[in-house]
Order: sequence, then structure tokens, then C-alpha cells
Amino acid sequence: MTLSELRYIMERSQREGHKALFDEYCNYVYAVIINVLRNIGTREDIEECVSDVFVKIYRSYRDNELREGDLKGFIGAVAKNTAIDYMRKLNSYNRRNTSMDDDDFPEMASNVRIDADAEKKDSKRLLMQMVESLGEPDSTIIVQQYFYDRTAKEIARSLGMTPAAVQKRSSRAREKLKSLLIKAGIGREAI
Amino acid sequence: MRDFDIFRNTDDMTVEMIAASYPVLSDEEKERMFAMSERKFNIKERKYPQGYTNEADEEYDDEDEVDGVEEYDRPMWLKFLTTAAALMLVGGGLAVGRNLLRRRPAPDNVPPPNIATAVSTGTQTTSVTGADNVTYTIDVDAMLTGLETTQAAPAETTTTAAAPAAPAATQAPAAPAPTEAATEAPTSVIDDEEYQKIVKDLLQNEMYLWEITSDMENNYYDLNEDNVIKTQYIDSNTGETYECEYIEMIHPIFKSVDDMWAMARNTYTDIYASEYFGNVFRALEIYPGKIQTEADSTPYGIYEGKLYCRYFPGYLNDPLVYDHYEAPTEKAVITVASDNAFQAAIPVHAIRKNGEEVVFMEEMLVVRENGKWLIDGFYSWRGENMTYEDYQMMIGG
Repeated sequence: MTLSELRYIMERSQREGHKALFDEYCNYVYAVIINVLRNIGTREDIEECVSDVFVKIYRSYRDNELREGDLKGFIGAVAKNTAIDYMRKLNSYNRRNTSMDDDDFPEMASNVRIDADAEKKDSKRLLMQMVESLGEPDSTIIVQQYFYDRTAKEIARSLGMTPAAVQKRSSRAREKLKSLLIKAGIGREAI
Repeated sequence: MRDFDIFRNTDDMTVEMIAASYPVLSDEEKERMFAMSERKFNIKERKYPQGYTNEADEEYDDEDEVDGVEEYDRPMWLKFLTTAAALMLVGGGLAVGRNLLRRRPAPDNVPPPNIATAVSTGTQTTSVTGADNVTYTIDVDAMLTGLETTQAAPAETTTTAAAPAAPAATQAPAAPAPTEAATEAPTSVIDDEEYQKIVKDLLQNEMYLWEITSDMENNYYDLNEDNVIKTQYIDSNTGETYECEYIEMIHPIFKSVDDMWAMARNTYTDIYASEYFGNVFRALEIYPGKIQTEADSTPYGIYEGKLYCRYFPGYLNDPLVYDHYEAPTEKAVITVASDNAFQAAIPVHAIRKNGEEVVFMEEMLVVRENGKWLIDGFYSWRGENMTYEDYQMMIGG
């Protein structure tokens, strides 16, 4: 969706414009946020964060802050920054501190550790290729379970399988993925 | 942190790719988040309309603040309510425990209930409705003999399992005999007829088990008031204690926890049995007057070496409790099949004590290990009142 298309819909109806924007980018925003808040926030925290991101985007549109050409980049940046704010807030609620040197701390926009990051990114891309090579439904099961933090029951519902079948397939896919990673010489530290 | 955290700190480009290739949000989740964002947007618009210049206020507004203290008088009736709730919780736990036990199918080495040629020679018999709606007589003593034979010589289990119970001959398990399996690996995909038979046999076993574990009117439990072991359960929240009763299990097949495990392991894969029944098939020592907490409160108890089952007062008279299952007449829906595993769903008809019929889909994952078909997972769609037709629609059948 381009900014012009969004403007066209917004002129007709603000709500429709919001809905179109939400439908187009909600999966992306959700993925960016869960990548930061996984293991930190609850499902409710993540959903709250997603809604906050869209409120910011709607208001940015209202204030003419969106620019033609990189709508997705802008939305991704808002999503990531909002998620990091949430992470800090949640960590302070949990009386926990996160060091910026900690591996768990999400990458910052400035990309300071360029070399190490580049290597990690290569590994991640290779990892994704391997996940895809598992074939369906195994690749979807692995992504839903380990990236999106979904339960076997939720995955089963989305794929029309039983939770037991999901668990079984996940276990086998995990073993296969591990052996692929070992063969490719990708250790735990690299990913 | 999970042991397989491969997606930790995934880079932006990969996240973008995952979002595009593996979208995860359901329509319901999208609707919920969209509604939330609209609500928040409208609130903000009212408080900080376009042109509002003090951004600091707006930022600060993200933090929710509350102040003041509201005095709260805990009403007396609440105490009774929480007491009743705690009692219901205990009762519910017992019901769940008992229900889980009920859902264990019988082992392959015990004759299943749909035995057309069963002959009652023992002193104890029971009746189960078979697939063709004929009531069959089960020779309980013969089954007990089968179980004892298996337990007495564990090393010989695979060769002696089918021997003791002659009536089982006409309804032998669909899987190849263990001795055959040891020498020849399964290679070909089985046909639909055999899938149907395996599924119905496994399900039949489960129903049979349900029958014998729930039939308290048939001398399987010692209901003599004098023999009831009365213990006490202490509620960790209120500190109050409640009476808790255990009755001795005198069913010839269920006399010890080991009996239960022997059966479970003859029907389920080891991992599945441990995972799903590990907590249920536990029995701690009990004695009259013992005060139990949640930690040492189990559905079964051992007293003087005998197995006791925790009794759920009122259970027998509850009209909504399932009285019996009726054997399925429909064909199982086989959705995923390979040489050594398949997934099947079949409608189960349960009849409550009040006569009402409840139909739900029972889905199971069946795998072949060492030539023997075993259940590796169970899932019932009963919560959704899913029917056979609904299920077929769901899987696109």
C-alpha cells in the first residue's frame, strides 16, 4: 500500500483507512514486536503494544509525518522503538534490569556492532532457509512455536491438526533442524 | 529461556520475511487488536486533538496512574463462598483424575469387549455394547489371567500376550503379532479397512476401560462404609480441613498402580503414557485421619499394600455423568497416513446417566512401534460439540 492509496481511502472514511493500514501491516508489526518482547511480555502485553504502534501511526498520518516511499520502513521503526519502550517498562515492573551488553538486548537502530551483526544476519538467513527446507507443515510449526511462541494447541487449530500430532512433528523437525545446523557448522552462539 | 531459542534477536530483514511467509494472526486476534487501537486512538484524539502542542503531557499520559486507598470490608458470606469453591475445586480435581483414568484403553493382551465368541466361565462378568449393538459378555477372570501372565513374565510379554485369553481370537488386534514384527519391518501402507479396524479396536478398548472403571455398582469397588478410609484435605488458602474418602479398588484388573501402568503401556507409547498419565497414576500412602495437602493428595492411595481410589461423593447420582459409551458405527476419518503413523478421528457417542446422548469427535494419533500399533496422542473435540459432519467440513472432506 502506498501513501497515496492510503490517502484515497482515508478521504472516504478514516476508519476504513485505519482498517486498511492495520490489515496490511498488522502481521509485520506483530512480528517486529514479538521479536523484542518474546520471553519478556505476555500475550496481552504484545497485543497492547501492537495497538499502541497503530495509534502512533494513525496520529503520524494525521500530522502529515508519513512520507511517500518508505511507509513500511517507518512503521517498522515505530514498531521496534515502541517494543523497546515496552521492554524497558516491563523490565522495570519485573524489577529486572537489562544490560545493553546483554545478548538478549535487541539490536538498536544504530547498528553499532556492524561486523558481528552482519555475521549473525547471515546465520539467521541460513537458518531460515533450513527452516523452509523442512517443508510444510513442519516449517510453519517451527516458526509458530519458536518465533511466535504459540502453543501446540494454537498451532494445531491453525493447521487443522491435533496438538499431539503438532508436538510429534515439532520434535522431529527440531531434531532435523539441529542436525542441519550442525552440518552447516552453525553453533548456538552464531544464532 | 527455552532450550531451542533459535529465533532470538532475529534481524529486521528475517523478521520481515517471517511476517510475510508465516503470518500468524487469526481474524479474531486482528479484530481484537484493531478495536483496541481504535479505542485508544479515539481517547487520544479527544484529549489531545490535532494542534495540541505540549507533547510532554501526551508522553506522560501513556503511564496509567492511580491514587487513593479504598477500604474493603470482606463480607462474611464470602468466607462460605470460598469454602464452597474450594470444595468444588477438590471435587473437580477428583473428577478429572477419575475421568483421566477412565480414558485409558485396555492393553492388547486383554481381550477387547467386542468379542463375538466370549464364553463366561469365571465368577465375575460384565456387559459392554459392541459395534453391532449386541451386548457381549466378558470373562473377567480370563482377562485377569492374561494380565497376570504378562506381569509374571515380563521378558516373555511379546510372545505370550495373545495366548491366555482364547476368546480374543476373533478380535485380535489389527497390528501384526509382536513376534512377527520383531523379524519383519513394516513396509507397505495398510489399506483403509485395516485402519478402520485398528481405530475401532483401540476405541473399543477405551470404552471397555471406561465401563469397568466407572461401574461402581458391579463389585469393582468396596463400597462398604466400614472399609472407607477417611482422610482430611487441608486447604492451603484458608487453612480449613475437609473430609476426604478413599475406597478400595477390588476390580481384578485394577488392584495396583502397576496394573494400571501395565495396561497403559500396552496401549500407549511410553512417552505419551508418562506425559499424560504420570500424575494420575500415582498413589501415595494413606491412613485414616491423614491430613493431606495439595502436594500429597493423589487420586489413588495405598493403605496396607492395597490400592484405594479417592471417592467423589455425589458422583454416582450426578445425572450428567456419562453412563456408558456406545460403539461408533461411522467410519473413522483418516487424515494423515504413512507406513508407521496415522491420524484418525471418529465420533463417539456417550450416554449420560439421564439418558441424554452426547456426540463428540475423538481424534487420535496412532503410531507403529516394533510392529505394534499404539496411541501416541489423543484429542477430543467435545468442547466444541463438533459432530462428524462438522469435522469433515473442517478437514475439507
